[in-house]
Amino acid sequence: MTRFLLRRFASTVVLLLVMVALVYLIFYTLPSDPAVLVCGKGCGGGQLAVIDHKLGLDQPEWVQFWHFLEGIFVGRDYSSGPDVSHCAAPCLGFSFQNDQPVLSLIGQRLPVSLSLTIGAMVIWLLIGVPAGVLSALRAGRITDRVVTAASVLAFGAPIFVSGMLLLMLFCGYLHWLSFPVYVPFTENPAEWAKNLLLPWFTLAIAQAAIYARLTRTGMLETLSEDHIRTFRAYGLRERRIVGRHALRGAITPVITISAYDFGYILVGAMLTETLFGLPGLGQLIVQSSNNVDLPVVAGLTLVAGAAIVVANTAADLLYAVVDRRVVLS
Amino acid sequence: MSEPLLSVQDLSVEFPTGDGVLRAVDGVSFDLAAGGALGIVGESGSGKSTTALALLGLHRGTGARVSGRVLLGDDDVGALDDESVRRLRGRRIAMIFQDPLSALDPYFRIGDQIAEVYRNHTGAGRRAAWARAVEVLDRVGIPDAARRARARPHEFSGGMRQRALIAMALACEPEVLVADEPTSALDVTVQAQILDLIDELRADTGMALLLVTHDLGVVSRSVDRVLVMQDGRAVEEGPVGEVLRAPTAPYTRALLDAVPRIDGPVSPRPTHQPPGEPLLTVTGLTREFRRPGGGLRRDVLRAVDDVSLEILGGETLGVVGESGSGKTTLARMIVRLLEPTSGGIVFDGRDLTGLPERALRPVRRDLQMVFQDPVSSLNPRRTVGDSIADPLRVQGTGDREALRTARELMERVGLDPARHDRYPHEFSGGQRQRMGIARALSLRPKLLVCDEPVSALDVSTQAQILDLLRDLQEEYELTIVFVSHDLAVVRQVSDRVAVMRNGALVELADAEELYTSPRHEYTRTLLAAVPVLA
Amino acid sequence: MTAELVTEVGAAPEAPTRGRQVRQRLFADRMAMAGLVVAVLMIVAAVAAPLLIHLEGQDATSYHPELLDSARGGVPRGAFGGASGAHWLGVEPTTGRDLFARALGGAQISFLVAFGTLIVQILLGVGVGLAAGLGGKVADSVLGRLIDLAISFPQLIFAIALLAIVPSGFPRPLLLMLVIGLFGWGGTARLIRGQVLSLKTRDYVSAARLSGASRARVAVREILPGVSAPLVTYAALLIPSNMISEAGLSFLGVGVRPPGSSWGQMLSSATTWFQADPTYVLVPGLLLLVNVLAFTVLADGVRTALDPKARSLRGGRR
Repeated sequence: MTRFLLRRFASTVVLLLVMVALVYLIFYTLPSDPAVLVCGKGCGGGQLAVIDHKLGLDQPEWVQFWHFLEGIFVGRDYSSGPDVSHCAAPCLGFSFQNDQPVLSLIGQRLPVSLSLTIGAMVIWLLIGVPAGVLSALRAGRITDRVVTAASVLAFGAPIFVSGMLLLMLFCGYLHWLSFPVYVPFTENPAEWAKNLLLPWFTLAIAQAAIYARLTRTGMLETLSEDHIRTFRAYGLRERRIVGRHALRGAITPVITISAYDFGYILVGAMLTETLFGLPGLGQLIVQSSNNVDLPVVAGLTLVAGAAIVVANTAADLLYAVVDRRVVLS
Repeated sequence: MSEPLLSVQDLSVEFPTGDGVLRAVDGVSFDLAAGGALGIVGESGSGKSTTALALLGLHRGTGARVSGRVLLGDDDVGALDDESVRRLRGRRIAMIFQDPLSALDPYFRIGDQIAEVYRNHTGAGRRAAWARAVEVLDRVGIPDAARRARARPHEFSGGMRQRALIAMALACEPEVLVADEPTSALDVTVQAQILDLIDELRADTGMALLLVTHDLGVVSRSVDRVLVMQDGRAVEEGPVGEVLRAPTAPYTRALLDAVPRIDGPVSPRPTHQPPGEPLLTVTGLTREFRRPGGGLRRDVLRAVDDVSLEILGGETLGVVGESGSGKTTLARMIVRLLEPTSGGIVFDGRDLTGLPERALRPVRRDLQMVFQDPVSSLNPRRTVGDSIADPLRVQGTGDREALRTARELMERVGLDPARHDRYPHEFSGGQRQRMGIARALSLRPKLLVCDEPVSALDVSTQAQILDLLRDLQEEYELTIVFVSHDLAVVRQVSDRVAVMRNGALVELADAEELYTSPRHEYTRTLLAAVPVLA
Repeated sequence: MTAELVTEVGAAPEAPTRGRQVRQRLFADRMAMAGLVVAVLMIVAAVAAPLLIHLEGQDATSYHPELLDSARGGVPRGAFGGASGAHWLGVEPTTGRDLFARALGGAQISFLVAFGTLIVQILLGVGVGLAAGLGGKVADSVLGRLIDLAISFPQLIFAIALLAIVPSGFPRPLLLMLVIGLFGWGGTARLIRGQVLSLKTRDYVSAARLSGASRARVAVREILPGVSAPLVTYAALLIPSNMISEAGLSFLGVGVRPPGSSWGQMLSSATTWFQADPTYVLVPGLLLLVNVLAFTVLADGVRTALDPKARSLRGGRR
């Protein structure tokens, strides 16, 4: 077990380092004049020279990369004469457009993304898993068909279309909710939840469809396995067979995929956040990309990659813990 | 016989299928006395397992239509409500299954699964149920049961798992144990231990046994009465000694004739040429596999460990061993499907050791193989004719000529050549095995390596394929390496026999000598474990 | 007996999937047929777009301020977003551009990018998958890792990041195909690799090797035919997924840019109008929804027709 953990950890670290190099290559060396891109639209000649020096673009490229790495592990200063901007470790770059280190920009947005992800996840698990179980137990009957049809619809609908339709329905016609405005949980929990209802459900509906299908398939597979027949042959109650033995097998993939999805949605809910104007990480990357604020885009890409790698590792570990048959290797 | 404990009267089971109704069991009746032992034998599709499942009412809710009566004491299993049947299961009539790995829940500790069944029927407390689980595990011979009860099924070996399943059956002290092919997935030595255990438990507890199996040898050693089934019908029933010694039904007689014997007479071996010159010589052949999860450390498994032997021209060399003995790995190395880790192979005077694939190609036509699994050995997307003709095409024969030869070969192995444009799934397992043989023969090889060629087949089909192989050996002047786990089959076909264990060659001798006076301890154990048809 | 029955059923997918059988099964699937009809209609409309727009007598770029109510912030006059005999689906708020013409332009982009991306994905996916599956151990472990990476990394984020650094002169639809394709081939590659690795262990492949067949011959004759059915299934599902990706990127403002039109981009500008001019939202929204659903249902039908036991796939889309 420890060996497995060590190996997994080592390969995760290697992966992250590769990613850092890749991101650096793409965002700091490929563009013809990174200074222009870093600075953004409408930068003057004088400013460019300053940034050139600040970024150390007048130095050889491997030195620049070294500084970039150094920034991540020990922090670095972006300085030119009296104007020093410190960027503490882990320094993922400095946004000259916002005059802030990328990491603090990310820090400001994180609570929003966390709120969105956690809430949506609770909802999609609460809808998706029971729907899948029900569907499997009533396989072939009306309930199953309704669930299946609903999940095809929800699965196929692009999230910004379903979100927009929800918005039209609940804000435009029924007037039950006003257009969402993010309110921090610490300020007013009730308003926080109320404003997040639409984004939560928009995300959750699409996810619930996937989870319902996953659970249904898992349940049907487990129910057809031999050990279920054994327990029937030993007179266990059907409810116990389903609730304890069949569900246990079906829930395994759900748990691991949840871990993965959590990482993914935390950094990648761009469509939902943009549609509802939520100032989360997804919106940040879209905005920065539109404004060509490259350090932010690069930094966020790193964070996203890291989140996914960590989520993947977590999913693998969970799988190994939940499914005791897996030989850890 | 006194009042029967279990009485089955005119039992029929039908499955509705896409085209019509399949009558899997057709009017079967039998009785089982308290403490008695009845065997149900038959080939696949005979309805024996379906009958067994019906005894516990396990067809309920599956869409199968069950008619007739199954009486357990005074209770009619067919007429009781679901709840009452549920309470019978495991408490008065328990069942064990063929594949002991999949029959237990992989996620739960074995002790917990047994305790769960026990609590379900007795309402005992957690602690008492756990104690009971440990007790029965100990009873079935699990060493250190208190600790091993905490293991999950994958941590047990095949034989241990079957013991655990038997322990589960014992937990509530049932009156009847239904065992559905309980040892078919196990090695012959483990099979003997499990059958001994069942005998012993029966003597101790007085429970009755209903044993479903395809293996007449198992029936012969384990039960008092036997019921022979064919196509859903009972064709013969009687005391096991009588039925096996003097069968009345023609089907039973045919079945008994088809069974290869480990004692008894051997059909004569072809003697077209005196075996003499070694055709293939293997020296110090070794194959290592990296164990999964070994990491950086070189944790290797020696599947074949320093094996040296000669295969003489014109002979059949049998290779026997239990699972994990390395016999298949050896077979695949001989035809160079697997690279040896070390050691040498000399074929027909040519050293094949380390020969690259390209240089090997001309030699390939002399070294062919017949595989075990008739499903995976033929490309499902190619017609039978193409599959058989392909080796010829590869070696440069023209298309028309190749197909003509393929049709001739089909005829020779007993297939209708008119069906050459059909696909493999339209044929039965035995027919597919014939195709595999035809393909292997298309290049007129000198050496034919057969890896468990009849293990997936029923006894009667098995006998036909063995006959075919013998005829072909004479006709094509083949040298054959015959790999099998089945000692009786190997005895029937081999001139000499090699016994393998844990990758090593244990003993190699003339067939008669090896079976009558085995020299090695392990060979003796193996031979003693084979159930003999009395 | 039941055990035997089950294995028989389990063995069934091994049967060759013959064209006629598959078509029969597909045609019997009413949902799939409905999807097919809608998909074909959409494609025809997209291809015949210039003709249809000419028939309507409008174009996608002319402004029609006279049709807007400037007092209400530029909302089209009349019901249903100003739909009329002249403007079949009404006009855009603030500009008065013809919605029918713009929607058809969106359809063109949607199909162009979806199919173009598919080509990139299949070329990359099949290439890498085959190389991993058929190559040696080293190739497989390196490429296998690469495939894992390509699958687990969020394609939308990378696409957005990449789109940020590409010069604005680069033709947008082509760029979208490349970017979505570049980050969306992992699934195909994994499928191909898995299939090849599984087929490689079959005895009939060993038999072919034993007959002296070359690696190339074994690959072409014995392995590739077994890869095609799952590939078709997967490709069919990639089409709607690509449509969503294009619309999503355009919705985020990094995809198709004005004056080109895309459903995603139309939806994005419609966000603020959902109360004042619902038609403006519904036209691109429903078109996208119906089109994606049609292709999804069709793909599902193809999957069941080819392999009744297959499982559904998970798309990466939020």
